[in-house]
Amino acid sequence: MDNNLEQLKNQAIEEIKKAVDINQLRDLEIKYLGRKGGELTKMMGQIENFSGEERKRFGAEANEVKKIIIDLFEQRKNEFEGLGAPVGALIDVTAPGILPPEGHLHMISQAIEEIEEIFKKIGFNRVRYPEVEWDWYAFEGLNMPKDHPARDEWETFFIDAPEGEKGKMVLTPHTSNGQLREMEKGKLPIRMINISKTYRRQSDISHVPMFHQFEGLYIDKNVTVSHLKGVFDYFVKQFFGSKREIRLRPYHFQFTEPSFEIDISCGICGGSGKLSDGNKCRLCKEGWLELGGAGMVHPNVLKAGGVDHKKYNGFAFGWGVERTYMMKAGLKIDDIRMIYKNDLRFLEQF
Amino acid sequence: MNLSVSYNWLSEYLSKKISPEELAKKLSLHSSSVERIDYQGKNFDKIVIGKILKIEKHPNADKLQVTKVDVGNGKVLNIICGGKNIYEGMLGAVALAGAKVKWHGEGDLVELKKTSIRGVESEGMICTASEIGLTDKLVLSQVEGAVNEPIVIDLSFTKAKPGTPVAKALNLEDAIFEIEVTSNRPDCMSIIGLAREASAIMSSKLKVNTVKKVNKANTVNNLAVEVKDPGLCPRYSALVMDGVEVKESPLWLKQRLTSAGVRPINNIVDITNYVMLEFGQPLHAFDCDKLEAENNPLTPFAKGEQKKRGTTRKIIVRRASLDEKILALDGREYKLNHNNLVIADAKKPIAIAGVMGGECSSVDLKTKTIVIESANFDPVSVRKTARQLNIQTDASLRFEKGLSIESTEPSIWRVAELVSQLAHGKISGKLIDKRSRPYRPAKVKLNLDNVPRYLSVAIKPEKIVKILNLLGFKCARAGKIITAIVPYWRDRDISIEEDLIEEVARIYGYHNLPTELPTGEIPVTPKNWEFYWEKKIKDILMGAGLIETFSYSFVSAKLLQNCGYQLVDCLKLLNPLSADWEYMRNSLVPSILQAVAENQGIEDEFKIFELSKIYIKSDNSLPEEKSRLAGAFVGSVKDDKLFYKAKGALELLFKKMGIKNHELRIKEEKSNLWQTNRSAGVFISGSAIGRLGQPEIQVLKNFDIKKQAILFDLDFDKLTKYARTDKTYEPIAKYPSIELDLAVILPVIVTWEEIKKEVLSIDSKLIRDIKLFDIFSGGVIPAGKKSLAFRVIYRSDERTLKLEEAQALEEKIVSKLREKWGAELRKKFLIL
Repeated sequence: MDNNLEQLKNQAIEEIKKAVDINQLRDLEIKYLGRKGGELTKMMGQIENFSGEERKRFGAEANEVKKIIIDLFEQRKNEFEGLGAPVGALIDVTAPGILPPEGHLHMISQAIEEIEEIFKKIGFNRVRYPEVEWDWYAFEGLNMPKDHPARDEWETFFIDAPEGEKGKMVLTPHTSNGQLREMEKGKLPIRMINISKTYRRQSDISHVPMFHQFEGLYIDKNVTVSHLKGVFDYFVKQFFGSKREIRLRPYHFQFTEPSFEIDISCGICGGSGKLSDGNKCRLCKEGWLELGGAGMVHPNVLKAGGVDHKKYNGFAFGWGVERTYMMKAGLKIDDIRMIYKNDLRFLEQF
Repeated sequence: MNLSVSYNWLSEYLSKKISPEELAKKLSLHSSSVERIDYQGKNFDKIVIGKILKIEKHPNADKLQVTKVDVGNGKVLNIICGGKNIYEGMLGAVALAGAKVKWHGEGDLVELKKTSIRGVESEGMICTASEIGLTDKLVLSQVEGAVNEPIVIDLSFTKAKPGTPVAKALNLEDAIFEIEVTSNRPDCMSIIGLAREASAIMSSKLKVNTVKKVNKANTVNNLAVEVKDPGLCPRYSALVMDGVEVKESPLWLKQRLTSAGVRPINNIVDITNYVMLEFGQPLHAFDCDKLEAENNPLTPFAKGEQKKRGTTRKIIVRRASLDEKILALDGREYKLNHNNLVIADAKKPIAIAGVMGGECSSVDLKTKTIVIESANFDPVSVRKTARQLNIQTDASLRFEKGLSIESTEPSIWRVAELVSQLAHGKISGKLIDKRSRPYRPAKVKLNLDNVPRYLSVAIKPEKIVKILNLLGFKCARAGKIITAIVPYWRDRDISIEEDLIEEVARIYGYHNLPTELPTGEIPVTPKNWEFYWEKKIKDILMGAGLIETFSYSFVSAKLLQNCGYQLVDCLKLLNPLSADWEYMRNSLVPSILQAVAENQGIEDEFKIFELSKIYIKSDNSLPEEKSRLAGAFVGSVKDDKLFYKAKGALELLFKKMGIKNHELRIKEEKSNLWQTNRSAGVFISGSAIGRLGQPEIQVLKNFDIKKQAILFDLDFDKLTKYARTDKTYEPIAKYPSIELDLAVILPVIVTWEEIKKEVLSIDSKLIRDIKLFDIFSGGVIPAGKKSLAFRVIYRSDERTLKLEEAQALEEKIVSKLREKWGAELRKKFLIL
C-alpha cells in the first residue's frame, strides 16, 4: 500500500478510536472525510498523479481505506448513541433478558376467549344474560315446576327481595336461563353461546360458590342428535386437540329430552384406560373423562320460550368454564377456590 | 344416587353370560353409568377347598401331622399341617403350589412351592384365615375361633366340593359396581331394574321368577288399616304373617346386603331390605303384637274370631300432630309436625312414613307376628320430611324419586315368600290393600317420522318395537304410529313422544348415530361492542403490565362499610353461605382493596384490575347489572410518581381506544372513599366516567393497607360510548421540527392543563405540542412552588423553521408565564 495512504489510515483509526463523544467524532469526520478540506478527500485527489496500473491500484487502495474509516465512524457513532457495544466486547447471551412490564389475564378470561372463538367459527354468537334472575327463567320455564326434586341438584342462592310475577329472585345456578331469554327475542334459527357467572351454595376444595358456565343453544328445523355430536366433536378437537374423541352416555336433565353426558377420550392414555407400562390410567375412567351434560331441548322448554315445537327443535348444553379449562390444561389446582383468591403468585402463572 | 351393585346378583337375572367389564361398559353407554368396578376375592388364586381324608403323626416332628387331602379331580395331596383343630372329613382352605400366602399371617406374600418338611414331602398347605388374607367379616363370623392362630379355617359349613376355588365357595368372587342412577329412574335403583336394562341392551330375555300370591281367604286378619291422607299415601298394602322365627340371616343373604352397603340385622329386617334392593320398593316390617289396638274396632270380624284372636291391631296413616314425638330406629327422637306423614297405631306414631321405622314397633328376636308394609308415599312429602329431620335412608332416597303405586304388590309377595322360606312364617289373612285411585297405564304415541327428525337415521319399525318390548312397553302399530303402553315402573318418567325416542335411541346406541355439523342457515347478528371492548380493554391493560383479578360477586357487610358504602343500597342474599358473602357488590372497589390488602406482603409493587358486573338495586325488578372497570396501582408511599403511572395507564387505554378529549379534574364533591386533594374525576368530552386517585386514609386503615394505592374506578358503558375503532390520519410532517426544553418555577396551584393551554395559544401555527417530563417540589424549590420541566415542539408546515425563530417563540413563552403566574426560569437548553 501507498505509504502516505497507510499512514493516514493508521492515524485516522487511532484518532477515531480515541474520540470520547459524538462531537469529537463529528469533528474527526470533517477532518478526514470533509468534502473540501478532508485529509482523505485530499489524498484521494492525488490519484491524478498516477497513471495506468498504478492509478488503478491507488484508486482501489484509497477506496478500501475510505470504507474502513466510514465503517469505524459508523460503529463508534452507534456506540455513542447507545446502539452498539465497544468493538469485540463479548455479550453474555445467557444473562437474563430485561422484561417489558408483564401483565396477566386471569385464566377465566383466557378460557372464555378461547371458547368464544371456537364457537364463533360455526356461527354461534356470544350473548350474556342476567346473573340475578327470576325463578321462572332459572327453573320453572325450564320444565322444573316448584317442588320438583330436580331442583335439589342446584343449591340455589335466593335474594332478599319481594317475589315478582315470575317468581322469586335468585342467583342463576346455571347459564340455562339464557335459553329462555334467547328464545324470547323471537328470532329463529338460534345459534347462541351464553357465557356468564353462575352461583351455587357450595364451597369446598372442588366447588366454588361463584363459577362460570358456557351454554350452547342451537334451534332450527330438524336439529338432530347427530348435529349435537358434530358440534361437540368439532369443539373437542379444536379445544383439546385433534386426536380426542367424544362419546354420549344417557343421562337425565329436566330441560332436555333425550339427555346426555358427554365424555372425552383421555389425553393421557389415549382412551385405552391403560398406560404404556400396562398400568391402569389414573386420570380417567376406562379411557374416558366426563366433560358435561347436554341434550335435545325439551318441548316444554321450547313452549316456554315461545317456539313452535312442532316446527323447530334443537339442542343445548351448559358446561363449567373452570372445569373444562382445567381439563384442557391438565392443571392440578388442588383447591379450586384458589381461582378466585386473587393471590398474585397464582395469577402470575397465567 | 350411587348404588353398589353385585355383579353376581345381577347376573342371576340375565339369560346371556357377560363379563363384568363388558356389562359395565354396556350399562354406561346405554343406561346408567358404572363409575367404578371393585373386584372381590382376587387374592385367592390357586386356593381351593380340600377335604381331609386321613391324619397321621409326622414321623420326625411332634407338633406336625401328615394329612391326605382330596383337592378335587381325583387328586389327593400329601400335606404337612400344624393346625391343632383338623379332623378327618373337615373342609379346609388348601393353598396349592404356586399360590401366594403369608407365612403365619405375617410379612409379604410368598409363592408356595412343593417342599420337604423334616423328610416328608408336602404338596400344599392347609391355611389359617390370615395366611390367605381372608378378612371378610361375614365369613369369619361363621367360623368359631377363625382368627386365632394356629387354627386352620374350617370351611365345612360351605359344603363345597373339593377343588372348588375358595373364593367361589365363600361367594367372594364378585365384582361390585358403583352405578350412578339418575333421579328419573328409580326403577333402576334395583337389581331387577338394572337387569332389565342389561337384557334390553343385549337383546336377551330377563330371567325373573314370578312370585306366587297366597291369599289365605279362610283365615282372618287381626289388623285393620286406615289411610287418613290418601293424597300423601296413594296406596298402602299390608300383609300379616305369624309364626315367624326371628334369627340371624344365612350367609348368602347377609353377603347380598353387604354388597349393597346394607347392614344385616335379623332375617325379617334383612328380607325386607333384600326385596327393596331386588325390586326397588322399600318395605317395612312391624311387630304386630307391639301395635296398640283400638278400643272400638271399625272393621267387622267373623263370628267368634275376635274372642279367639284377641283384639284387632290398628295401622293408621295420618299426618303427625304438632310436636308429636317418635323414637326412630336410629335411636334418636324426632319431633314432628303437621307436614310429616306418619304410620301410627291406635295411639302413637310407629314409623315416619317412607323415611324410618320406629323403635317401639320394631321386629326383635321375640317377635312372632309381623306386619309387612309395602306402601306408596308422595315423593315431595317424603323428601321434605327427610330434609326437615335430616335423615337419609335407602327408603327415603327411593320414595322421593317417585315410585309407581303398582309396585307395592309384587314386592310384598316376594317378602312373604322369603319369610316363609327363611323364617317359617305363615300368611295370616288376606292382603290388605288400600288404594286411593285405580291404576290406568299411560299410553304414549310415537310417530315414526319423528325418529329421523331427532336421530338423523330411520330405525326400522320392527327394531323400535323390539327395543320398547324389551324395556317392558307393550306396543301396537298402526301405519306410522306406534302406541306404547308404559310399564308401571316407568309411569312417572315416560309421558311424551320424545321420551320414547330417547328409549329407542339409547338402546340403539348413540355411538351408532352419525356425527355431522349443522348445515342450516347461520343467523346474522350485529357486532357486540360490549364483548369487543371488554376483550380489548383487558388486552391493553395486560400489555401495560396490569394483572387481572376475578373476585366473588358477593362481599361482606364489613367490606362494603370499609369503603363507606351503605348496606341498604346493596342487594342482600337470603341464604348466604357465610357472612363473607352476604351482599351483591354495587362497586368493584371493595374487592380491589381486599386484593391489595392481601397481596401487599407478597410483592412490593403491583398493578391490578378487574372488569366485572356490579349490581344496582332496583325496586320490584331485577337489579341493573352494569360493567365496571376498576383497579389499583400499588407501591411504596414514597413513590411520588405512582399517581402519574396510574394516570398514564389510563391515558394509554384511552389512546388505544381512540378516545380523545379526556381530562382529569379535581372533584369538589365529598366522598367517603376518595381523598379530595389527591383524587380526580375522569372526564371524557366533559362527561364524568369515573374516578382516579388515593382513597381516604380511614379507608386504607380499615383495610390495613400500609402501602400507597392509587385506585381507579370507571363506568364501562360510558367509557366505551366514546371509544372509536376508526382511525384518522394526518400526513407526516414535511419539514423538521425544533424541540426546546424549558424548566420553570411556578406556584403549586397552577395546573399543567392551564400552562399547556396558555403556551399553545401563543402561536397555534408554530407551537405544535408541549410535553411535561418532570415535575417536583421541595429541596431547592421554595415552599408553595413547583418546578416543571417540559419540551416545546416548534414546526412549520410551510418551511424549515430556523432555530432563531423557535428561540424567539420560547422567549415569548417565558415572558407570558412570568407575566401571568410570576414564573421563574430555571434552565433552558437545546436538545439535539
